[in-house]
Amino acid sequence: MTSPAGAPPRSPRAIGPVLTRYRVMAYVTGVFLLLLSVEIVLKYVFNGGEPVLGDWIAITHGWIYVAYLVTVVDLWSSLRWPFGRLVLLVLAGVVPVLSFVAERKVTREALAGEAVRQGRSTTVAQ
Amino acid sequence: MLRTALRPRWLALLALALVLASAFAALGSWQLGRSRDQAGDEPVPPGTVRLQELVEPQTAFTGALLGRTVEVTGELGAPTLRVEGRALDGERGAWVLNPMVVSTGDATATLPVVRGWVPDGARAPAPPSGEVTLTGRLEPSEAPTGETPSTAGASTVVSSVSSADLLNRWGQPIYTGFLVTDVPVPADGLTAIPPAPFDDRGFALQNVSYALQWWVFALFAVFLWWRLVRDAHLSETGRLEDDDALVDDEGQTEPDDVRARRGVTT
Repeated sequence: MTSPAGAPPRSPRAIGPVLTRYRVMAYVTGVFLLLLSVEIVLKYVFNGGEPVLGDWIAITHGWIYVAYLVTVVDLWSSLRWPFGRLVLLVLAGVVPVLSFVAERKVTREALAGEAVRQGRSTTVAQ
Repeated sequence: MLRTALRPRWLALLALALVLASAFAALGSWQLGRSRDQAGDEPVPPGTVRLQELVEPQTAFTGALLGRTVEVTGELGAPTLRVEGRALDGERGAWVLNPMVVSTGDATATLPVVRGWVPDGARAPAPPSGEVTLTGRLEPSEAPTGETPSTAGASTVVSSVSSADLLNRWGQPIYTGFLVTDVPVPADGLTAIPPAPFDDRGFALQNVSYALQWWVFALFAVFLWWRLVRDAHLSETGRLEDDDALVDDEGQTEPDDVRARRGVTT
């Protein structure tokens, strides 16, 4: 949040931390999804169904995805984005690489929305 | 809020959310079931039972039979089959499989018996002749391969212990599944086969984990419905701002204003 010093906060809930949490989880989810993809290929294509790097990758990825969903719902509901976006973000966590792409787009739009809000408030204040 | 929730549109969405939640919950239960299968945590009843008291020939191999210790009397016969691709302690080798003719009262049936393991290259000793009494554990049939058995030297080579394949080869009646003897038969020249390890706890843990995750997703579905209804209710009553949303202190709710706050720029 970049509200002017001394000015009362314009919203009880700043988007900054919500967005940061989402961005961190988008990256972690993306990395683990890539790891999991590698493990699945190694396990089923080269190792006859026996774990190579270990089952912990699949288990950890599952819970990381749950945490990712929490941050996605939080962000979506804070920004009051349309429902379709929620669906896209939920899917972005299960398609390899897509979460990185989505993270960039989401950050850009969230900050643009924030800028509009800030800009409008400045206009009103004058 | 309740009036909003009771509109047909939101009731329909509620139905959808509940269907989704049920599907997720069912997937969770399925994963939990898989985890039980994988871990094999149904205890195997202890004690030795006569085969004929436990199972009839030509009937399905149920979970209750898995790993049971049975005692069976009969005659081991030809042919000796080598079931290839069976490692033991990291060494490549084969199981040695023979039909055993077992009396079932007024008739006889065939029980596939794996009587030990030999390393690749080693000859399998012939089975003892005459009537023998064996103890061992019951194992379920493996998947049929439909392969034509090849012959290597004097022995016939297969790659799986499949009731369907053996039925074609040996004729009926046949027991489904097979017996793995506790001690090699004969003891010379064969190695005992330890039970298949049930130490796949990792995989079971994975299934338990997936089960819990599906149930979390089920809660998500219901939560989202509630969230959407609440949004609809608040925007209808012109109170879009609420405790955890971005509040506009003018309280204005004209459409472009809402769109700007959503960050919808296009």
